[in-house]
Amino acid sequence: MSDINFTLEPGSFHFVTGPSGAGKSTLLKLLYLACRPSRGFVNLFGREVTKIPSHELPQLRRRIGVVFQDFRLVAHLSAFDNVALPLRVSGGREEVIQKHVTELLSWVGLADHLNARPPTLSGGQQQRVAIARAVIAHPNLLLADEPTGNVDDTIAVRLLYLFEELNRMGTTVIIATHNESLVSRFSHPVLHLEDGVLELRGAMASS
Amino acid sequence: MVRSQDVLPFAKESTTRLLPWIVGVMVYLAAVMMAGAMLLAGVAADWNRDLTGSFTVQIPPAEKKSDGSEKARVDRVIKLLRETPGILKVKAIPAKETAQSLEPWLGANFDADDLPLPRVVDVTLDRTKTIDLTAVGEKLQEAVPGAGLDSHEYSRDQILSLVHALGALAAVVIALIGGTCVSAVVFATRGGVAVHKEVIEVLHLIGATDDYIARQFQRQAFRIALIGSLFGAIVAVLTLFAIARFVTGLDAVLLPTPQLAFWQWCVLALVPLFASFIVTSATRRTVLRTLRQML
Repeated sequence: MSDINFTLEPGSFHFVTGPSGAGKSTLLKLLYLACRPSRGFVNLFGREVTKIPSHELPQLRRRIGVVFQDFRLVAHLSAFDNVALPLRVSGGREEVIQKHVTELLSWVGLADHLNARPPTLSGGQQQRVAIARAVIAHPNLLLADEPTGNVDDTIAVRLLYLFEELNRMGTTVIIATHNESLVSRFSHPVLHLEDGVLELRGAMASS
Repeated sequence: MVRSQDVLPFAKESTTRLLPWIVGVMVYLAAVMMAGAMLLAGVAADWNRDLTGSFTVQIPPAEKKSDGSEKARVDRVIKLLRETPGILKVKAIPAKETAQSLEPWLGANFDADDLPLPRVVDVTLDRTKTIDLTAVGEKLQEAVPGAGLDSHEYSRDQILSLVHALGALAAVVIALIGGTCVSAVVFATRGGVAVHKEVIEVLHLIGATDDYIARQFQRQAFRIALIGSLFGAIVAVLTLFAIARFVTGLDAVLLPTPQLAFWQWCVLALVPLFASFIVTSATRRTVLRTLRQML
């Protein structure tokens, strides 16, 4: 990626599209602080990430929910414990965790799989666990890398409604996908990335 | 109610599988070494106390034992000593008893009259008073030419030097044991962090602090260290009892009875706890140091 410059307003909803290898995942990695840019600047929540000391990164990361392309669920933990992780690492009370996690897993259709471990779940079910883990702590920024890749259209639309619901509550949402038909069903602006160049399609963002 | 469990899958980890055994062996060696050092120090203190408060007088053998001159020489020495201020007790060791002390070397059937054995007088000092042993020695020489005073100073210095050297050696060995144990923990922990790298990355990305991740490792290290060190401590106690029983059963009057005081048992009881603390803190430091290199 080079010469990419864009600003997202807090509370906005964007799709990031582009062919495989265009850099969608790299862009998200920079945003969820998995790596730092070798050149240039990334400003998150008013802070320049290249200048943030390591010990302050956890606080910033807790404001970001991520749905990884490969889910990255912890294999030996149950679906419940995977979803509960963001709350536990931030010191949440166990009774609150029990209530919220159970509710959210029921909402994504996994009420009967609270104790199931990821390897025993289907790809679609794992994806829903990953999404539940990303949204459980009501993040300010939600980043999702191909979040609907393993689910049917009905579930995909339902999950996007969940993201929209979070967006209505103030969460900034960025979804990387190459599912053009799904993108076209929603009226959110699109950041199209191709050959290292970012193009804005739609309104609300300035590039 | 859904039960939570360890975030990192320690149960399947092979890098720390040998750690309880390593910690156990280290605690065993350290506890036995420490007990040995404490016993030795105790025995040395007893010897030192006994030797400081006493001296012996050796009266060279008379040419003819049968003419009564030997008894007269012994009586002169005893009289002189009893009249000397600062002396609590004077006891002439019977010639027969002196001869018996040679039995381990000469056997029971030797004739003591054939040997030029000196007569020995044991003297106990009054610790509350000071006494000039040089003056006493000179008076003894005047009363009985050839009579010598042995304040055990040379033997005492030799023994104390030996005990101090052995104590220092024990301290060095215990330090080496601790160092080896810490090295094993550091290597195992680094391996553990590498094995769980993927989960650690996920934990970092969802906002876990290095401290949170280090605490996961710490808890596991404490469990391992406690199991290993308790095992090592129990075997060490059994070993000490076995040694004590063996030594007590020996017919060796020169060997003291190995017995630890209550406070010394308390010190030994602290060894597994201290080992667990060392292992836990070494684990924490290693994890934090390794995590600092990750984003």
